[in-house]
Amino acid sequence: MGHSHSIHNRNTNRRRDNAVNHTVNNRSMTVTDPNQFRSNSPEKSVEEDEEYEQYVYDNNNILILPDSCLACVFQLLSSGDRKNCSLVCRRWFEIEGQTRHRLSLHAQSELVTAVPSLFARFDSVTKLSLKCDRRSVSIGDDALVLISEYCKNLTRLKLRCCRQLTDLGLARFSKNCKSLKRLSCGSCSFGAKGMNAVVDNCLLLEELSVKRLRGISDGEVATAEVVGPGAAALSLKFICLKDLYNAQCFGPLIIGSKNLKTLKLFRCSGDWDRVMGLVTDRVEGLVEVHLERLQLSDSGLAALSNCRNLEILHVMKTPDCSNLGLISVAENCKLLRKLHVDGWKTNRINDEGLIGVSKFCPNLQELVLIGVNCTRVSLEMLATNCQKLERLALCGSETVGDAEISCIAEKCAALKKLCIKSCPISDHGLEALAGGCPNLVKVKVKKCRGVTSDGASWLRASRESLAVSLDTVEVESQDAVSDGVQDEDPAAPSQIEEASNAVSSSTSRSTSFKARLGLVSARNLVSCAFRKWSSFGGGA
Amino acid sequence: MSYSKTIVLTNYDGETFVVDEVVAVEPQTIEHMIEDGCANTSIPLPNVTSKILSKVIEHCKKHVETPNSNEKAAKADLKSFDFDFVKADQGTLFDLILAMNYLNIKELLDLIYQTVADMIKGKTPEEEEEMRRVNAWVFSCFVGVTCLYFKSKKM
Repeated sequence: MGHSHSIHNRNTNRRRDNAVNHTVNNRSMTVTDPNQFRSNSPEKSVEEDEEYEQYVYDNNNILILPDSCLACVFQLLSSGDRKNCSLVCRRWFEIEGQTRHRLSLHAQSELVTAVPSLFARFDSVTKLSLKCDRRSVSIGDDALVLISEYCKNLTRLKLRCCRQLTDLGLARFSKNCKSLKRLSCGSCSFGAKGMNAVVDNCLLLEELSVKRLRGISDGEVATAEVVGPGAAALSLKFICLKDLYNAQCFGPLIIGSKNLKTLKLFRCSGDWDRVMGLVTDRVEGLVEVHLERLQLSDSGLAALSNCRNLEILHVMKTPDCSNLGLISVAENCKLLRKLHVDGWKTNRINDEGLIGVSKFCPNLQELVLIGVNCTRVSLEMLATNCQKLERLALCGSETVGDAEISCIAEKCAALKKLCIKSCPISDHGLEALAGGCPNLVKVKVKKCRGVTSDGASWLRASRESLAVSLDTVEVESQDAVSDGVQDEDPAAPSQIEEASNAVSSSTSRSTSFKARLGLVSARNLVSCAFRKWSSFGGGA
Repeated sequence: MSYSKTIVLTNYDGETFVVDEVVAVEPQTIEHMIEDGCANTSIPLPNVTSKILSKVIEHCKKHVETPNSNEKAAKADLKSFDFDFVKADQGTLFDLILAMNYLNIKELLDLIYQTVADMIKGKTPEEEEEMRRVNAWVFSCFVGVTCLYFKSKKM
């Protein structure tokens, strides 16, 4: 910092200040933290202390800040920066430890020995994350129980891959940490008993996220132990279930959670029609519902009609849902603001369903359509009836061409953001955007073969306030080259381009692949690709 | 705009500042003093130097005088004022924090905390220590060395 030059000038001023006002300064400091310098050196004399403080004041050092102020500064820093601060000096080490609320730990079995010292240092942790990796042995019940004894005020807990934890450990944990508000667990081995203990003991529980819980997946639905409703059912506002074989054993919990606002179900096996019917019969206050890759038909979707306050709905890759189900939801949930539909190219949801939505949901602000073949007919209706539509994304629709874009440009007056991906549009479509949608700020075009970089730069030039991002294969490989500047091989750029073209056409993971390509040099490419593939194999 | 009443603030080296009451009540500490009737006409602020006090008054004035509307121009103006305001050297910033902490002006305090946090961001502990310039940990362990260090510095 350029601070050192100014010290001496200021020294003269400050020294006079201090001579007059030494007692006042002393007081302001000692009131907030009487022991800050003395605590570590009892043998230190008062004279030395004064000399030290004098030095601090003379240099107008950050040390003149009392603990409470430093703590406020630390609250604004990221976890990494906080770590660095804690290494600066003992006082900062202590302040940082005492004011840290959020802690993320690698949950290997060895952690248990470090728990006492860790939580003595971080004695006010309320948000804790325990993650283990697949290959390591995770913490066991003893460690979790020990942690719960140190942090009785825990409000959030995240568990990932802690396979050694059992129902018993979770039960004992939940008895100690009764003020838990959020629990998120993924890839753990405990089951319904542990979950039941949590929902029985943690009366303040508001959010529950469960992903890949092995203990739940045992046995048939009929014989498996169910979760809930439990005492926490009344406080639960958010439930998210992902990748569970036997998610329906959470049925009683969902049905019992009368105050539930958000329900998210992703890739959970079983027939959900009946459960959705039961849920919506009792839980009428749902505001946000996400349904993805479920065995769910129109009757299950139509059950959402009971939830008159529904504002956000995602219906993704549920191949049995059709226009009928969507229309009946739209008809009754007039407050709908955000709608995402992934039709999975089944074409069961198309213009007809969207016209229904446009008729009944005038508050629609955000519409995302993936693999839904909509045309000018429905888009025109949407534009006319949904005057608040601000964000629109159309992905993988075979029917969205230049005519549809022109229609959007002409009619969607409130539109701010538009994203088009893998649609048969061309530069002519972009031309239409130059004159339409007065509120448009951002246009994103991805994987549209008909759109050239000339078209995009023309749009940029003709509408300067608009952020246009074009993401074709051609542009991407240029990025890759510029990212990998350290590569000295002149043949490398063309190799990368060829490789990325080949990859994008041959694998479904092309995007992640291309992102990686930007980082590796062409020479590493082959080995990298092999490593990646072999890890896919291992994962699957 | 016309203000009905003025308040005299006296800083620790005896200088006085005459301020409109509307501006003076911006800091909560002063507001409470006035409400409690502890301040008839003059309020002593022994913890604050004149340089800092004038900066604080400048800030309060600006924030009081800017119309409290949602107008974009006014907001942007205030933002750029704040931006320039914190462009002070570290010493001034730390003094400001101490003064703010005493006067209890939350808005300004948050602004300066953010500025200090931005200074710390992305630094290694060594750089941080350089910025702090004194390593209390080491010094408290080696008191003798500390004294030597101070003495050599003072010469």
